[in-house]
Amino acid sequence: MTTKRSKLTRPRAVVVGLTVLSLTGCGSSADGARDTAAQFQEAIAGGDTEAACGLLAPTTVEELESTSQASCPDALSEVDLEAAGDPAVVEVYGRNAQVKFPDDALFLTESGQDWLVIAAGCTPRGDRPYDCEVKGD
Amino acid sequence: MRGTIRNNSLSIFFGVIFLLALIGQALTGVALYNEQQVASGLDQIGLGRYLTSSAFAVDVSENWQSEYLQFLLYIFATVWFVQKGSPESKELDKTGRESDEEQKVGKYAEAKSPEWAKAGGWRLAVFSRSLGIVMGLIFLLSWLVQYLAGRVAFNEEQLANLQDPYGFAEYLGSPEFWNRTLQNWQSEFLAVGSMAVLSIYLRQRGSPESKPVGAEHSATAQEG
Repeated sequence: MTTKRSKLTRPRAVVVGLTVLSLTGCGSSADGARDTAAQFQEAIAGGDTEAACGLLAPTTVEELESTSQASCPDALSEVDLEAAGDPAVVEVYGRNAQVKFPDDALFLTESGQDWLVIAAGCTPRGDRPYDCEVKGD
Repeated sequence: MRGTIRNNSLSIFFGVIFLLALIGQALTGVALYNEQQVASGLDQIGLGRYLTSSAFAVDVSENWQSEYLQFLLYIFATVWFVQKGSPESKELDKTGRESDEEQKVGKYAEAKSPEWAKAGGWRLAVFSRSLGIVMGLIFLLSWLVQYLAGRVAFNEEQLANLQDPYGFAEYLGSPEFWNRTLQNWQSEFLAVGSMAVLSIYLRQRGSPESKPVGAEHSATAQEG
C-alpha cells in the first residue's frame, strides 16, 4: 500500500488576524458629519456664505467658482439652497458621509480631523446620482 | 537551530514572503489612497488609519477567501475525483474515504499515530475531517469579512459619487460583491485545474509536486 502524502503546500497552523472594522459610522464620525452639515445649513440660512464656503471641500469650491466666475461667497449667495430642519439621517462609510435633511441632502468627506461638504442642495434621482445645486467636479 | 530552520524551511519561506507581500500591499495601498486624496485637495491619511480601513480589509479578505476555497475544494475533490497521469491524483481505484487500514485509524493505528486517530468515536470523526473543517472555517470567515468590509468600502464610493449607500441585503445581491468574489474564484480554479493537468505531461525535477522526470505520462499518483 502506498502512503500518499498530500500534495499542495498547506499551512500547518493558520492564524487569522481580523481587523476590527468600523462597519458603520462610529459615533464620533457621525457626530462630526452631522455637526458640519448643521453648521453649513445654519450659515446658509443666516446668509453667512463666507462661513459656508469655509466648510466646502476644495474641489467643490473650485467647481463653484469656475462655473459662476465669481468668488465662492458670491457664487453661493446665488444658489438656491434649502436650509430647513434638523439632520434626519446620518450615514457614514469610511471617510464619506451623507446627511439627510427634511428637504434635501448633503454629502461630506473627511479631511484630517474635519468634515467638509462635497455636495449640497441634493435631491434623489432613483438609481442615478443625486442632483445637487452645489457639487465638486 | 540550523537544523530547525532547514526542517521548517518551506513554511518559513512562505511565511516570510507572505509578510513582505502584505507589507508591500499596505504601503502601496496607502500611497494609492493618498494620491486620490491629494487629487481632491484633501489631507492624506497615515498608515495606521489605512490598515484599519475597510478598503484594506476587503482587498486582503477577498484574496484570502478564494485561496482557502481553492484548497478546501481541492482537499474534498481529490477524495472522490481522480486524474489519470497526474501526481495530484490518488490512484484510479482508490476513490473515496478509503478503509480504516489504509488510513491507519482505530485498531490499525500505529504507535506514533495521533491520539485522536486511535480514539475512535467523535474524536476520530472530527480529526478525520479536521483539515477540511479548518480550511472551510477560514474560507467562510474571510468571505464574511469581505462582505462586511466590502459593503463599507463600496458605500464609501457610492457617497463619493453622490449615490445612496446599499443596505446589507442589497449589497449581498449586488454585482460588486459577486464580481469581487468570482474574479478571484475563476483564477483559483484555473490554477488548480492547470496544475492537475500540466503535471501529467510536464516535470520539475526534485519537486514532490511533480512526477519523477522519467516517469511515464500515464503514471498516476507518483511523486518525485
